[in-house]
Amino acid sequence: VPRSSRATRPTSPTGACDFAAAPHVETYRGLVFANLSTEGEPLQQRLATVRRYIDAWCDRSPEGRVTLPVGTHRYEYPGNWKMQVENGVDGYYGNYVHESFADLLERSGERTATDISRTRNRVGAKNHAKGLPHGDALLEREDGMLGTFDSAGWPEYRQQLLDRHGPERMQEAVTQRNVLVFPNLYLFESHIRVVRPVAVDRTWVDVHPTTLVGASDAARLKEHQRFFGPASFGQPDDIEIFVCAQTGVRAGAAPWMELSRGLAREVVNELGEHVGHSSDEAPQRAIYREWRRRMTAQEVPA
Amino acid sequence: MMSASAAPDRLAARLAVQDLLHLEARLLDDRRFDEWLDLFTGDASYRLPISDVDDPHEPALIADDRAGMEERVFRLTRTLAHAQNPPSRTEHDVTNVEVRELEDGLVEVLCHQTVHELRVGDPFSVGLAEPRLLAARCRYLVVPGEPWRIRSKTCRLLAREYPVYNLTFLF
Repeated sequence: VPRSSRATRPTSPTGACDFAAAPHVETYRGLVFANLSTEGEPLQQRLATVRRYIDAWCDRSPEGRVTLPVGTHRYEYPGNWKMQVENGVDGYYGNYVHESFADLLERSGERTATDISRTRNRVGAKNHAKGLPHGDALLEREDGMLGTFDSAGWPEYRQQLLDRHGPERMQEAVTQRNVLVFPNLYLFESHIRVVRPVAVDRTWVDVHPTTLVGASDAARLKEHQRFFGPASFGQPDDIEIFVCAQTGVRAGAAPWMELSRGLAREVVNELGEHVGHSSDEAPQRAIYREWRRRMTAQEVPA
Repeated sequence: MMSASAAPDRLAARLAVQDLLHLEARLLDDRRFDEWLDLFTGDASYRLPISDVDDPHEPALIADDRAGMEERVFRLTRTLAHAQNPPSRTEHDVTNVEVRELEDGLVEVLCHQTVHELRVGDPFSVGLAEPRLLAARCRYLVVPGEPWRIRSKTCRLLAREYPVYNLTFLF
């Protein structure tokens, strides 16, 4: 919240603020969840199917702790909040929308456009787009963290994780994952993102860059800032597409949006996850199944 | 009291700074970004901080060193950056210019800048045909010479800690 004089504490004889308490406040791995409703399941139950990915996200720190020691990037756009929610777990659009960023990586010699495209399209044990129960979702790719971690510090960092977690867990931790906790919380490699609907066609997004406790990541914020934030070389191109899509959804003659990519090859695994190729729309289908369930208060078949 | 010889020097410095700032504004508004880069020294920086302290560990809207500035111009001039398709039309206004000569030979410039921005297009397209006005207080460090060059440019937006819609033109 932007600081203002209105945010100063009220004084009372007891020193208490006398604010109404949120009915449910619980934490998991340092993330605080407040529920303003008296209804709803306990946090452990709510997070049961997404917890493993929150754990892997936290274990990127050699000490298992992620902190938010710095300020916030805030951006807004004249479009619906669900554009941002869909986008974070979408593995299909990158080659087109982020062509500009791929050109920058090619210019600097970091990676060729062909390499980037190959990474996006690879089929492997850890290259998936998943729709989870509760409307949660994730996009995962095997060799992530590029662009959010100083490549010079990478070998030392991997060794730290290896010492702490062992080879299997290290591989799990460095897998690139964008994790959506429905409806509006994202855990990204470099930051926590909170999507705030302001109006049906206006959205604020708070991006909180993270620090991995114990990792020497001097260049990490710089790399993060290169792609994310309102004046960066990545995120604004996504936002432009949201805004174009917002123009499109006004078209009454075409009332449906199609999210069928990979529908035929989607499989449900033993964890109840709808698993697709990393460029499929399995996550978006999970998001909208839950959205419809909540908006209509009627059970929708999984 | 100012000595008799200092006044003409101060006037010359002020005129040189004003010429430089006006040239910068014109190059930006004409989208001559490669020439804009040439106004800066090889060790230049270009920053739009969010916090009030200049801390490299704090997120900033822009925290470019010279290489970052070159990458920014490359993106604007030689890649398909959707956020600049169609491109921003801008008008940079520079006011409240104060010039102070520092002991190390550099010149500190404080000024206000307002940028009018518009992306031209169909008014039914969200985000187009909507003029914006962004105001900032700016501080430059300038190196006198032939020509005068900019060592650093730091602009603090009036609304810097609030959500910002794409800011993909050069401020």
